[in-house]
Amino acid sequence: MWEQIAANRRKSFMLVVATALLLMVLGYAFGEYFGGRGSGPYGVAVAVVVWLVMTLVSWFQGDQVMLAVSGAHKVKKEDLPVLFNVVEEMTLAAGLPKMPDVYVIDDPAPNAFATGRRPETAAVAVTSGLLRRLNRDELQGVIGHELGHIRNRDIQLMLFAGVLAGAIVILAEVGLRGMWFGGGRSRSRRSGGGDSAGIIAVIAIVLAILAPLLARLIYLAISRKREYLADASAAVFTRYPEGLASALEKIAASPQKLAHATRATAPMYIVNPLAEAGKMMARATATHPPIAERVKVLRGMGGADFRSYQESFHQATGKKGVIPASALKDDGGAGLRPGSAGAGAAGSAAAAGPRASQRTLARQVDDFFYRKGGYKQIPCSCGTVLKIPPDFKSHQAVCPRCGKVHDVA
Amino acid sequence: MKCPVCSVPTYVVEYKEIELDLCPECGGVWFDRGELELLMPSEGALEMSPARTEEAGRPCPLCARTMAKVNIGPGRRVLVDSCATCGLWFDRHEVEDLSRDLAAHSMEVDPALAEFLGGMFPVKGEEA
Amino acid sequence: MIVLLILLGLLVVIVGWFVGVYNSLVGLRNQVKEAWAQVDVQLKRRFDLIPNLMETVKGYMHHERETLEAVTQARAAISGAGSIPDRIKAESGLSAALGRLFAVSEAYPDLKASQNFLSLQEELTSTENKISFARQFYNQTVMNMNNKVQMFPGNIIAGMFNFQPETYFEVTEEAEREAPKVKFD
Repeated sequence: MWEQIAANRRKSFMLVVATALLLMVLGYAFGEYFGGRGSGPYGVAVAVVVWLVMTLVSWFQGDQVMLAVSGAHKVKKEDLPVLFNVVEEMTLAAGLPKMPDVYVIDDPAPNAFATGRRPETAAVAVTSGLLRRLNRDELQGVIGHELGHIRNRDIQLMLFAGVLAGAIVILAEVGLRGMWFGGGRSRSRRSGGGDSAGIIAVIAIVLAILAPLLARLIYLAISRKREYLADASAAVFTRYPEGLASALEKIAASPQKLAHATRATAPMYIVNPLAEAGKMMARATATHPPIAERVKVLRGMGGADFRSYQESFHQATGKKGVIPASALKDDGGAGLRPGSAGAGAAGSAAAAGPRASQRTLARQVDDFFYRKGGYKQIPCSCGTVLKIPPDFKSHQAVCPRCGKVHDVA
Repeated sequence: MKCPVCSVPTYVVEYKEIELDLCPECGGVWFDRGELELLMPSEGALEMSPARTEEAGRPCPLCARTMAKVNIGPGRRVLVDSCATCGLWFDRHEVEDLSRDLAAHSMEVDPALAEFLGGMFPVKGEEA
Repeated sequence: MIVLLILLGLLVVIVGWFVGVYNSLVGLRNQVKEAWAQVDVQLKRRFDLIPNLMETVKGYMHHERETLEAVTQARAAISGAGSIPDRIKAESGLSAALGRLFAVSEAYPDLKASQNFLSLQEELTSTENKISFARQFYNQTVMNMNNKVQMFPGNIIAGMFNFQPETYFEVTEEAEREAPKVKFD
């Protein structure tokens, strides 16, 4: 089943090929415009070189830069046992060859992303705001979605597609500037002017304006498709689509915005970190499908397999479907399982109820950053724990519960 | 975090897996958004409504935007500062006031919340 | 001459197909082995965690001798299980016994307040989750393998080289039925 999904990225791959062709055509038109008749191939060569250099740069720094730019801290099992366990659980469900490295970002906005070109070197990062807001089932859904991206090899694909679109934007920008400062006029004089030069100029200008838009639209179309597929994967892994649905709702309801997100990194996140609440975004220019729609599709699933997702997607949107046909062919036909709120079969119960697990997660992530920040922990005999910041001014701190005075030294 | 009233660093107190920030100078208490809600079976059980008051707005200790004055609790009797994105600020004794209000309306509020606040901020005699 | 070339070409095609199917069968069998190894790691982890758990709860749960004994016995039954179907049955029994233990632990607030118990409970329930997720993936892999082994034309080559269909790891109905319905919070 999984190998077929990988093979079925062909459609997405065709879109990438279309973008590559667009780059070449743009290069050819610029070549003809700036270099005179017959210089098209040189323009193509320049375009390809620009693209190759950008690919190499992104290839060698991609993952580490993404993690560094977002200020991520690597965590070990003792730091955040629940998060670590959930990632391990989803690794097994996804059948990944190796558990991804786990990172936490200190940011109140709830979000998550996965990175890494191959499943063997992948990493998954979540914000502290996400861990403070979600319970265990919801976290499982979000991690399932991210590992779905890794499993479906989306990161590689989106990196590739993103660099291509970027190369087109840069080339068009430089080309337009060149035309503005009259680069093409001398050429047309040399070739004796005439109709063909004029036509080439018009074509080059139109392409320089349209190509970046088109490249971006294609890129976004691929991105949205991969989001749906990752949602479906999360539902199949967890066999509990409600977990992800409720997590998406909580994330959407959060008023905070991600501090580190830029337009370049936006498509990597589970929800678009840059979408402004209340501001209507045209569907074609969004990296992610609308959350309400994703939630509706997840909630409408009758079983925990790709076919159920496909049917629910069709019901919710009226569109044909987003799951590749071959993935549906020999689908497992797995049933849904109850969440931990009404823990049913042994083996599906979370350690505690959803509320309690949310509290535990919140405290584990807070304590992780308190340790990083050099806070001092003082347990009080009445059951409270005092956490003293390094810049604390007084020498004593009072426990508000029992009134005991603790020395802070 | 620094106290929005006296600007000195606050310290954190954890009880029953719930956290709050406490100012060592003025005794004011800060709850991160969502922290009190963690005690309740359903979200939104701790309702509030905007208050009409002459008191000046204070800056939020996390995002520095001016906080709104709201009445909180089942009886809407306690006046606190609220930042819509970051959390709630209670002046000294305002948490006890909320405890008292919750106790008076114990039928309508979540016992876990009442128990937490009652345990954390016991309502003492008048001298407290 | 031409006939000979055609025959030779045909032979190459047949041998190539033969090698291809054989290799994919071997690949699938290795995948099944790998998937089972993942399940096995988690089962062993649970097996190792139980003495620790018993030590922790003993001091608190004075009135649950039967429940505790059931867990110890279910654990012992695993060491005695030889074949994979026997093992699967014994493991399901342990899942059920552990489920009952955690259900009755709800009645012991002191135990529930113990940090040691809470982290053990998180470890054990997470291990249960890991077992069931690894099992889910294992069964998927077994299905791929069995489809290839039993369907035409894979079955011809599977028969020649003695590739057998693999056993699914299914939780016995008994264990599912006995699992307690617990309401938290």
